[in-house]
Order: sequence, then structure tokens, then C-alpha cells
Amino acid sequence: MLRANSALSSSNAPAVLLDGVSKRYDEATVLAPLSLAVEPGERVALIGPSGAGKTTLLRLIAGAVAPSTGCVELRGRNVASLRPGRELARLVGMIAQQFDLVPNLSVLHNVLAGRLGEWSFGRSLLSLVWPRDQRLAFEALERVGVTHLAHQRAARLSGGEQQRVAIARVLVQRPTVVLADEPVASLDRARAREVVRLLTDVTEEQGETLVASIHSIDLAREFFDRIVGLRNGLVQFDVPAFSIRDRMLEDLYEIEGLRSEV
Amino acid sequence: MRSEYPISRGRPRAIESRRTITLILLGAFALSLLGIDWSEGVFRPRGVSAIGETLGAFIRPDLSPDLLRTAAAAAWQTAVYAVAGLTVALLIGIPLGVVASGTIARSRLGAVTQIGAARAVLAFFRAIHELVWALLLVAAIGLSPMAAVLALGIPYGGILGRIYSELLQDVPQAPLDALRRSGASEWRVFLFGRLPMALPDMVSYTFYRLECGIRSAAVLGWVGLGGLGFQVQIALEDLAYSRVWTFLWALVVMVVLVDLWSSQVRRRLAP
Repeated sequence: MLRANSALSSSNAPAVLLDGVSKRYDEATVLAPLSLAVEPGERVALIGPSGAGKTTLLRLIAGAVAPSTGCVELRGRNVASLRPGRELARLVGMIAQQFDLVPNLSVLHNVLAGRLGEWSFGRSLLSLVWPRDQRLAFEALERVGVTHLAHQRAARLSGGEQQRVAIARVLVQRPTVVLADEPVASLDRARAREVVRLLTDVTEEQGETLVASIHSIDLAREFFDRIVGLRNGLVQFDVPAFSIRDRMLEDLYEIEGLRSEV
Repeated sequence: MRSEYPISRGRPRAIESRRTITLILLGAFALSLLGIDWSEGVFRPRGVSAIGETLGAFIRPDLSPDLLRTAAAAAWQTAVYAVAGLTVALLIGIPLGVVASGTIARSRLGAVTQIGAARAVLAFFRAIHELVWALLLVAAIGLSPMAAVLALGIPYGGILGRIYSELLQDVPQAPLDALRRSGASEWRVFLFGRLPMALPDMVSYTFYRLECGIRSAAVLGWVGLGGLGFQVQIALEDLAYSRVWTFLWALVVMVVLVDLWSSQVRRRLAP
């Protein structure tokens, strides 16, 4: 069945390890030097105000940008040393906020795009006309509950359905670490809750590690093991989800110079 | 919104220069009126009655069965030239357009080289008009259908390639990034992202080019390559305007048919 590609990497290394990682764009420091370790199978929520560096942190883990200092390791392997493409895709997959699917392609093709790293060129070309690995795709679609939409074009789907398809795509990709950047920001509360529940459930079933930035504290508390609060590119707190206190959240989201007197 | 600042500052200057250009153009037009000798009349002596005859024939084309048969045969020949010419254009335009988009290159340097080389070839093909290509090819290989098809296919290939390359470049980037993150190489990103997203516009533009191709194929008749253009030319030499209009209406019918076909196909391709 669907299992993460854990055989690739040393077994007791952390799933994600950031060691003294910082990121500067020109003169602006987006991420101050920070260190963070995520154990295999852990579900970590990143919270914090806009501009705190959540997206940058996720992009660093995904290998989409290189750190200015420090190093990022996935299962003990330095991300900078991995070739982009198949090698990286086996270790890390990502779900974005929206507009992530190819609108003119069917849902089935969009899900199978998660296999592009594994397929040869000929197989990819053939799959445009006669999709390969269909059973895998249908299993993933069934898991996220949208099998009936398999032959619809992605453009015709609602926001919630699109995110389910994006999750199915990561399911067939089978990375050891799944990243999600505000995966439910464009959904209403009820649908957001369903999608986050699905995301945490399926990654847990596959034994994958999940790191997600999320703006809803309630969802972070309910579905994640651990909450990391980021502010101005620094880790302000890093605690088990059950032990988070209102005071910590007030400090995290406080607007500078506007501190309310309690 | 920091980004709005330079725009609001730039606007008055843009409006000012647009006004200046408008004034210069109006002045040039006024000056050109002075150059016309109004006393001799704008039309040549028999010109006005010729306009009348032409307009009359426009409403009453010659619809005798014999002529309709000739028109149908000529229209068929023109359509065949257009379709064959467009096929050659696709054979040139698709590969060169993909290369000229620079989207399948492995490195930045490779992309720049590919874009530069392919765009230069495409520019050469389309800089020369199909009539000039026809004259060159007729001189080289004689009055054959091959000359007509190549004369149409070469410049149209240059046009298609250029438009394809731009459509392939201007697709939304977010889905492409998502494909790269799932491990796809640029070729696979092209197949599963760029091509499907650009395809509806590419098909739509190709149909428009088929319409243009019918028009151009008709004109190729003037250099002796047969079809509707050749028939129009003969009819014009006889000053038989009602026959001229029979052939021109045949041309209009063909363009309308292509238009209907294209809207059918586009409706099926819409996302």
C-alpha cells in the first residue's frame, strides 16, 4: 500500500532538522538564525502574524530557496546536496494555499502529476493520453473523498475540492515530509476544518511528518501535536499543542506600540 | 500600496506625450489635404460609375449553375492550399515555437541560446510576405502546387511559432511550481502544465490563422497558382463584376465556415 519512502534515509535522524538557519533578501532579514528539529511522524503547526517568516521557513525546508546561513536536513540528508527532481520529491512534498492545480487537466491527471518524479519521459507522455498508475490515483482520490470528480477538469472544482485533490496528489507522491502553506486560508470554517482533519489523518496513516502554517489557532490546537510560534523571523515559542496559553498568543500577535494594558 | 506610487506619478507625463503625438498626427493629416488637387476630382472619370457597378454586383452576383460549379472547384482548390499550407506551418511552428519559448531548456544559458536562435529563424520566415515567397518559389520550382503550399506554410510557420512561444511562456506559474515540487523535470512540467494551459489559446489562434490562410491562398491565385484568386483575376480582366462577386462570396462563405468550426472546437476545449 501507500507508505512513505522511509527506506531512503537513516532511520533515527529527525525528519526535519534546521541548524542555525537564516534567510536574508538583500538587506532585509526574513528569518533570523533559528534551529528546529521535527521527529518522524510529528505534526507541527506554524503560527504567527503575517510577515513572520512562515512561508520562507516552509520554502527552506522544501529546498525551494537556499538558506543564507546554516543548513537544512531531511532525514539526515542535507537538502542543498539533493538534486532537485526525484530525489527531493521523495523526501518532501508541498500543498499550497490555492491555484496549485493545472486548471485544464482532469482531476485524475492532476493527481497523477504526483508521479511525474518517478515516471520516465515516455511513460509521462503516454499518461497524457492513457493515464498510468490509475489504481494508485483512485485509491488516493477515494481517501480524500472525491472519486466522483476524477474526470472533471480541475477548473470546475470548488476551493475545498481543489485542496482535496492537492492532498491526493501529495498522497501519490509519497514524500516522507509533507509541508502545507496555509492550506485552508481560502476556505470557510466548516470546510477548513474538514480539510485539515483529512490532511492530518492521511499523513498520519502513511507515517509521514507534517509541517503546516495555519492561521487558525483552534485548528492548530485540535489537530496538531506541536505548535511553533514565529514572529519577526524568530521562534517565539515551541510547545506541545495542549500546553499553549492565551498569554503566549497575545504576545505573538501583539502589534508593536499598541500593547493593550490588561 | 507602495507599488501605486510610481504609476500615479508617471501618468501626467504619459498623457502629455500622448496629446503631443495626437496634435502632430492631426497636423500631418491637415497638411496632406493641401496636397490634393481638388479641381480634378478625387475619382477618375469613369470611377464613380464603376463603384456603382461593383456595388450592384455585390448584391446580385452571377449565380448561373456553370459558374457556381467553377466557383466550387476553385474554392476547393483554395481550401486545399490553405489546409496544406497550414499543415506545413504547424510542422514549422510547433517545434520552433517550443524551442523559442525557452521553456524546455536545462539551464539559463541554454534557454537564452534557444530563444535567440529559434526567434531569429522564425523572424526570417515571417519577415518575407507569402506573395514574395510565392514569387521566389515559383522561380525556383515552377508553377506547382508545392510552390503554393510552401509559400503559405513558411511565413505562417514563422507567425505561429512566435505566437506559440509567447503563449507557452505566459501561463500561470503556481501550478508549474507545484509540478516541479513533485519532482517533474522541465519536459514533464511542459507536458503536464504548460501545454495544457496554453493549448486553448494556441488552438484558437491556429483557427484564426486558417482563416487568414484561406484569404492568402486566394491571393496566391494572382501569381498563377489557380484557385479563387485566379478566377477573380480573369473575371476582373473581363470587367464582369457579377462574376467577381460570385467568387468573393465563395471566399466569405469559407471564412464563415472556418469560424463556426473554430467556435465548436473552442467550446470543447474551454476549461
